[in-house]
Amino acid sequence: MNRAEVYEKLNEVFREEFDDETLTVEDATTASDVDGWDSLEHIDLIAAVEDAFSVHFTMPEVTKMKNVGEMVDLILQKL
Amino acid sequence: MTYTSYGFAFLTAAALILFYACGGRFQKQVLLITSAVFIVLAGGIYSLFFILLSAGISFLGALFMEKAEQPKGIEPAKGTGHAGDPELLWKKRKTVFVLAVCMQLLMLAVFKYLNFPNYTKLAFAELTGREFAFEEIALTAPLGISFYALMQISYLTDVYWNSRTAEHSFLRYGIFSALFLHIVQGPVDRYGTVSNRLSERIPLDLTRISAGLFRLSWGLFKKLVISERLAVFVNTIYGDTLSYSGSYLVFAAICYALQLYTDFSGCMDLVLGIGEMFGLRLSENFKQPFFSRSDAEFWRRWHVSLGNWFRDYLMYPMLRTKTFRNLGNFGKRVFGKKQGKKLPVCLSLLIVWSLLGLWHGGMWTFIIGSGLLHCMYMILAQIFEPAFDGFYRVTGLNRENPVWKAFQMLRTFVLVSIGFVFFRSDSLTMAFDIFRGMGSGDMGLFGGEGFLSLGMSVPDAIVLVLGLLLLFVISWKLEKTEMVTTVGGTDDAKMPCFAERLLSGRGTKAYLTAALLLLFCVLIFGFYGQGYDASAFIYSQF
Repeated sequence: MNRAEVYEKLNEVFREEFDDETLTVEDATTASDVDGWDSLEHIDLIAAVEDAFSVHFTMPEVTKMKNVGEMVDLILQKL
Repeated sequence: MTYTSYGFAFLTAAALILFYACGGRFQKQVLLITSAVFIVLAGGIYSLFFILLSAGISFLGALFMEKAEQPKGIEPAKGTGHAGDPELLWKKRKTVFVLAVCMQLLMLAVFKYLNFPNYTKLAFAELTGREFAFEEIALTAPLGISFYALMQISYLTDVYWNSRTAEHSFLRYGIFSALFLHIVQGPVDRYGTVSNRLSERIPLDLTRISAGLFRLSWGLFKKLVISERLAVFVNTIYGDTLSYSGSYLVFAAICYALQLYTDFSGCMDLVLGIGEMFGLRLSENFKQPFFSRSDAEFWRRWHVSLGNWFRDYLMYPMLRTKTFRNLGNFGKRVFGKKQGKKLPVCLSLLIVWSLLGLWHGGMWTFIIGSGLLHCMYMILAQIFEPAFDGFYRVTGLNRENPVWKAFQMLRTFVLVSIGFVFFRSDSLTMAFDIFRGMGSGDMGLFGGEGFLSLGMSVPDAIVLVLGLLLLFVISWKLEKTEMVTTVGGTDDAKMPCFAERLLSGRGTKAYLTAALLLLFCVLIFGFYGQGYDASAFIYSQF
């Protein structure tokens, strides 16, 4: 799976998770750019991403990822 | 010894000179010795003993965990029970981690919560109008135990999670554990924040030192000019709540919220400013919290390092357990996807906020005022989220409308001030009496004698108002360059420092001038010195 394919799938997860069909995320997208993405929502999002890609993030990865780009890097590393 | 004492000023100045003397060859030793001297003077040799014990447990625990790591390149002999068996190694590692964390928690519990069961009985007895007397177990807690226990646990957890390697130098680990700047009331630093700077020699940089001095002066101004003046009103009214009602009690609640903020954030400016003079960037603890538009946002801006600790080491790991995930799935089936996933979140909020309240002390005024009340706000915000969304849809109100934003900030201030009333009260009964008294309609504060009867002269009140105006202007300026993220945290070390944010690009002379001006104001208008005993920083009691 290349980066573009990861993004295609990841956008679906984000749209489903945040109930927004127009949502598109990119490398620089942070939690502040997505309405509803706060620390309370974060773990549910992580679980949805893990299920979608069949990967597992470690706790430090979960707490330290600062933008979507870092999340995609991690997914690509783990696939 | 307190941070506002002459002794501390002398100790810091001496340490700073020694730190940069001899080409900076003994910087680590200077930091460790200064910290040890400070701890002994502020909390006795007894405090130093327990801090070193706590640090020793974590230091050795982390080394054991590292040793119990599968060496790279060696084929795992799974299930054989021989040395090198990854299952056995993992078990050992886990046992060491659990033991070390339990020891830290045990010390915290012994020193801070021995009276908790009796406090609980007392709170219920008072609320139900019964009598309950008990003899308090007087055990002096080591200086800063609530803060350093959390820092020790965070280090152990980071090593356990492999997110950092174990430290091999006790000199460096000792500095982190006992650092005189964060031992009394935080910030709750992570190991990397301090250790990253200890690997290299820190050069003498006058711009950085003057920037630190500027921040330190601002901290002193906040504490000695603003907070101590607000304390006059607060102490007068809270000292005799039954004699005051209506406007007086509302005024005291507002003053206390501002007092607590200027006291605690003033202390943080002071220690972060000094840290900067030593070339250390400690964690930011306040991000203009009174600009928050919701209670949840408030707690992302107030005591940030503590909130981040509970989020990263308790809430997130808890939400990722099988039990909470199953609860989420159950919630989604019963309440629908959007509302159902909030079920585990609400339960985790209840656990986290109960412990946050308890962390402040075993008193129910803390557990409610700094815990359960905010938990209730946040759970209600979660439950009513669809209703709020509907409100915006139906009214067509723009969420970014400045008047609406100002209203939300005011509402947040009121909500958190309610919590601070509990926090300041001696008992739950006193807090409820205060709320009852607020509704009396007494507007005496605004009468001729009302305001002047509270122990403050008109010139002092004018200084207070001007001080608060300066606080507002500086907070407004800082807010423009602030980074508050909801997830992942901000990398404070990459942000421009406090002085740069306020006086961008103006350099050493501007920082020094601003610092001297502030220190001059503190000398003239500050509440300090002989005949006046500036009260200790509020958070140092935790």
